[in-house]
Amino acid sequence: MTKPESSFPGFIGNLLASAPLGAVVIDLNGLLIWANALAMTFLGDSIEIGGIMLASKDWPHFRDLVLAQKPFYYLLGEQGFMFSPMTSELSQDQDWLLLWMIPSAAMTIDFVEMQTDLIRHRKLANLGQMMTEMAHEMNNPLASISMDCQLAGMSLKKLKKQIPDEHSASEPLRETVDKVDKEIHKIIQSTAKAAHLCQEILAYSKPNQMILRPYQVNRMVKQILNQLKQQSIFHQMTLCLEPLKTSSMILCDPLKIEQILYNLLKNAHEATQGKGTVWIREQVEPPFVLLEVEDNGPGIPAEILDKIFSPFLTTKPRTGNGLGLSISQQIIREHGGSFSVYNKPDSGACFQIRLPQAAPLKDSL
Amino acid sequence: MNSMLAEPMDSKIAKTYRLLMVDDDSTIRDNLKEYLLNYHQADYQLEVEEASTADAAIELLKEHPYDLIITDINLPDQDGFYILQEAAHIQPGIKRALITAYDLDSYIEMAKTEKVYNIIVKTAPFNFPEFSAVVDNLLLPEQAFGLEKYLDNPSLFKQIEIHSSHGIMAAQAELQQFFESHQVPEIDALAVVMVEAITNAVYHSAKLPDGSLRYEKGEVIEALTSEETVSITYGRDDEKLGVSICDKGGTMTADEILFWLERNISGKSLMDTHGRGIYLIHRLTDRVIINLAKNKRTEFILLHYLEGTPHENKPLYINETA
Repeated sequence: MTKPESSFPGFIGNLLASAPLGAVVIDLNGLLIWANALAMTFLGDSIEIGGIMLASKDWPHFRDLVLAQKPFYYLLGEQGFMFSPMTSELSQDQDWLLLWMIPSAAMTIDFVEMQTDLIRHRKLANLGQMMTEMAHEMNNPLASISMDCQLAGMSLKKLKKQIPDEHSASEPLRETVDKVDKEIHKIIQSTAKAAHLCQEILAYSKPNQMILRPYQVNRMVKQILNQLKQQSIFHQMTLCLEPLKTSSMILCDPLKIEQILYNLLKNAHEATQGKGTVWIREQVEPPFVLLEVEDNGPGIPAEILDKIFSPFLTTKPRTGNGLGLSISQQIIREHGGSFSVYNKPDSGACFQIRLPQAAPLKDSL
Repeated sequence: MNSMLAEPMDSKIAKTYRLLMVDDDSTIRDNLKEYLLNYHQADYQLEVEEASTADAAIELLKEHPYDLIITDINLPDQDGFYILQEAAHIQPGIKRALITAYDLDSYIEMAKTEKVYNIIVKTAPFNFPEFSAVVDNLLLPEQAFGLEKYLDNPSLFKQIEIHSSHGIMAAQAELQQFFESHQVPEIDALAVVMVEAITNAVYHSAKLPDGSLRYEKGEVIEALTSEETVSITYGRDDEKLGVSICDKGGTMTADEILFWLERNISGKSLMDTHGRGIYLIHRLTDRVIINLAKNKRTEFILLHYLEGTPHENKPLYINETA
């Protein structure tokens, strides 16, 4: 790699060296190849020519901002700077980039974060789009796999009928056929699960496709409890219901809210290692109905509490059916409600879902 | 050009129908063909031919007669709607259906414009018995009527007749009882569906001589004549509950149904004061099959699965007999 100063015709080198603006030259790995004296004072004592300009965790983001080829603000320590990538002739065909560096008194931390968020959101949007397309593409092969298995199952039924009734080999033959049939059915089930997950991803990216209708809260809770009873993992948990005497009606898409509540219960299960207590509480806060799902686990770690509803935040590999708290919050917002969480003073987390109250069904018909 | 073999002299020879299956995914084509040839039970025989591109399909349509064409929407060279458009030109009267892994909502506008009334969905697992029923209904739409066709060894079967507008709530209450006894969680949604479907049927049943509706929705109807009563059948089999609501007016058309569905799916109906009934019925019920015999009968068949039917990706099943 040629040193940049040697690429600068003499007078440009002098210009850069004596300019009232900082000038830095970096390569695409974050090495500071050259800086003029002013830039060196901005960068501070800890940074040297030939060394790295930024901590390695910060570099990728900085590089993205530079490659976007537009001026951007950046915080170095406590001081804000405007960096302006100098494009074109000087740096063409080189592995380095020249940046102007100007201290900016007008810059605030919020602005920098906003800019950072913008880039992150663009990336997430692209990722989201890819996921949607992939989910679409997945449906066909999943249907194919399922069809193949279903037809195989039908053939096995035929085969079983052809096994002669009395023959020494018949019983073991039937057992083997049953075994194969069982495995095939497991494939069909797994494929159905995968297809369902694709549907969830697609539903998330569709514009508002919900039908809101009046639904009674305790009916919903009953439905969820039935689901829980069927799953042995919940058998060691203590469930405390605090419903209202006359259960309230909410205006909602019941399937979606049920799924959200169910996911919260699963989270509570994980938080308490399957042995804790969960409270499900119904209250009225006109014009809303407040549903609380509370556990006695360790609560949510302070450092992620304010980020807990952000998409793609994972603290552990994702298990279960849902796509997370971010989607749940989106869905509840689309209902005209709100979704929040706080840590209890004695340990544990309390999730609060507020949904609009509805007039009872008979009245509206 | 779409007729099959000449009427057989020996009545024991079954009629043969020719089906053209178009999909670029060979597994799907093979599987559907295998199912139709080995497992589909009917009084007729089926010959199934295949194509993997639109061009190939159109060539086949030009050369050979078919009674039914089923095509995927996304093909490498043209989309399925285009093929069906061509099919209607080349062989007028040919029965047409689409099959897709995508959802109905994305295609409802095309379905309305191209007058495609049957869209089958590729789900995992795939519903083969339902596929059998739709092939049957496409080939023989006059046999699509009647709830019995959609229940497998029904364990319950009851009938209600509605003779006046007072009967609407009574019928709805009886159906509500039926759902409650099966602990159906979506009972409130089904209540909405039933009221819409029954009310629609009652107010479409009574016609004036010129074919227009005699009563306005909401008007009290003291007595419907015997040619105007609405019949409701309901029952269940091992996996689902079924309700059939049938009026004798026969004024509903497939185009009308698609008009209202499209209007509501696309959001154009936001400010409408009415017209959501068909959309709600379609959205809130697991499966809806609409059978239309012009000026004779309109039947809505509503199926609710006791467990496990996906609620997304619904098919479109409208059968129209002349």
